[in-house]
Amino acid sequence: MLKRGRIFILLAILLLLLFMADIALGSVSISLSNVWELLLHGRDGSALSYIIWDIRLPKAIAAVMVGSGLSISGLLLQSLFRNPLAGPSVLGISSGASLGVATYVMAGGMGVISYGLLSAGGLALFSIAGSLLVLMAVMAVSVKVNDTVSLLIVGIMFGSITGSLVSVLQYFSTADLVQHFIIWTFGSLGAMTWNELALVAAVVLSSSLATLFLMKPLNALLLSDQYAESMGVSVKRTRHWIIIISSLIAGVITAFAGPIVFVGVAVPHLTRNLFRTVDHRILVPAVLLVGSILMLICDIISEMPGSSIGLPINSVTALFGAPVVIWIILQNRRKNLG
Amino acid sequence: METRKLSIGYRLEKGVKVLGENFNLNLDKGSFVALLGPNGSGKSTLIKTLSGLLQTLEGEVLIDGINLKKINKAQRARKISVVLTDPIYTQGLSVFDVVSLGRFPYTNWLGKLTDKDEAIIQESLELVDMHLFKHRKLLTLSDGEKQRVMIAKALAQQSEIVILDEPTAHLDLINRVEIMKLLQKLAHEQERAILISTHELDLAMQSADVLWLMREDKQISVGAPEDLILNNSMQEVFAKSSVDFDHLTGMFKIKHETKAEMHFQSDDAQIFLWSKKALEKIGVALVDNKTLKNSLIFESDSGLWKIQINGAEESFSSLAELVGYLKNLRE
Repeated sequence: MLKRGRIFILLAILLLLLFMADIALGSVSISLSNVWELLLHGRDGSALSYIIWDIRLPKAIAAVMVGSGLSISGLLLQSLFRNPLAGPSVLGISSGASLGVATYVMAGGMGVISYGLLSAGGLALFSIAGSLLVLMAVMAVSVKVNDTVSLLIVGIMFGSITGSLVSVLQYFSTADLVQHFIIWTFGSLGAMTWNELALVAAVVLSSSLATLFLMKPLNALLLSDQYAESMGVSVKRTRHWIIIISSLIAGVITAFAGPIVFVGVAVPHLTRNLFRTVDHRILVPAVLLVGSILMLICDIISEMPGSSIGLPINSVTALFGAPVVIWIILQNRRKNLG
Repeated sequence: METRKLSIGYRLEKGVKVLGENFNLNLDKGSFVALLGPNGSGKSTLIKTLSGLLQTLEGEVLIDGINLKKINKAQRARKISVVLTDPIYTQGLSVFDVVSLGRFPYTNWLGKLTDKDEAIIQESLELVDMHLFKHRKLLTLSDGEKQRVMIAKALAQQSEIVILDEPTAHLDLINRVEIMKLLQKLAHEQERAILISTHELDLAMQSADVLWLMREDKQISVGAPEDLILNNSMQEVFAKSSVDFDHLTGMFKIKHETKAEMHFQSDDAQIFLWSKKALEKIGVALVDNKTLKNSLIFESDSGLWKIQINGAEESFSSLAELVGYLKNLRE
């Protein structure tokens, strides 16, 4: 236990350092002492204070929220499907959210849907509805097939279906709205306003809090559904909570940060290997830390510090995430052979 | 635990599949009960109904006089623990992890183990003789060891009733015997009521205090194994055209069709018995009847079987050769 405690402390320190580094690094580098100063003293009207308070700080917070949120969502889905390859993007849940967003942006842009008062809330609602829809569909199929590869293919298929529906929407949409949507699909941590960020943070934090109460039943589910039931767990209720929490998180994050891939699959796996455990009482807080750290690293890379260009965040997460997925498949193969 | 007018089965889209009706059963503290029955007779369904994992069709299951339906899941987990045939999904769990899950109904919302919990886990592991494997991962264990760990989990749950669905399936003979002995010991020494479903007729007869026999007419026969043999229940349930029940040994025997008879003589009782068994398999009955035309003699001096058949005479040094010769003759 002492060793695990030490890893937690190291991760927390790393998170703090990366958070500061993420604020300091970018096309304009700001020294750490300057960052500290400006954060402590609030806005002072200077260009640097503007950069930090209105661009870098919300982006760093967004990175932490998106990283930890997607990782929790991925961990919950992996435990629910009992499959190390489950995750919001792999199972097509992020695509479902995209469909929701596409419907909202394009149909809404043409006046089919009235925007209502709070456009951020409306966007989130559509996105969550989309992710919930696909998750339910995947759940329904997974009752019949639950081997890793089949489920993966089902997820990809649902992704294609929602993708083609999005194309249909694009076909009937105006060039302006299509461009708006395509930029959204690249994913971005920097596009959120403070209000939107508050909404994302509220969802991620409350969901993470709710997940703390799922840690014990999730551990019982490690044996089997019936064993969990025999130990007093309501499997049905636990499953409902997992579905609600993971689609809420995936939905709201996708709405404001775009469909960010692979984080949800890769982080729980990396964390299990780092801590060498399957105990959710350790994994839940740990994936929050590891997810935030990885997302901050990806954000720093995507900014290409010192240069004026920036990479889409989606391609950076895919660059490290896809190899992790291949690694999982190889590891499973070895386990099956051994 | 007792049942009153219990009917078991499952609901299908169209109607209900009833597997047993009007069961009035008792499962008492300190007794080891084995549930037997042919495949598909509803053993698993009864086990799961009594565990509270399946709904009763009619009637009730009572624990200390309270209807199982009225006991909430958390309370039920303190009264009944189970060992199922479900494969354990997470093979990365350690032996300690699995057994500590047995404390689930007693721990707080975080599942934090107290010193008392740790002591109970240790004691449970010692009872099944797996305490030296505490930190091993599940995937490194043999099937027999895994089964012991699951039993330790059930023990750690500290319930008066322990229900096991086919705990000896997939195990080799030694492990089957050991698990049965362990369960019998736990029932008697730990004062628990232990119910298992099993296909191991002979082992169950040798170790269980009470047998429950599921019958094809959806009824159940209950009694001590010996009583069930004496009142012919055993034979009614299991004897088929291909199987004979031997009332003296309490064993089932494959029924062989007799095609020919032969006189046999030997002073050695063991030679007599095993020669008889060897030839039974090919449909030749050995009898002590000198009037028969064909005969077999075992000469203890030379250690040879000498046969006189259809006028010919042959000697063999092993039963395998003798059987081979007779098979050839028949063709």
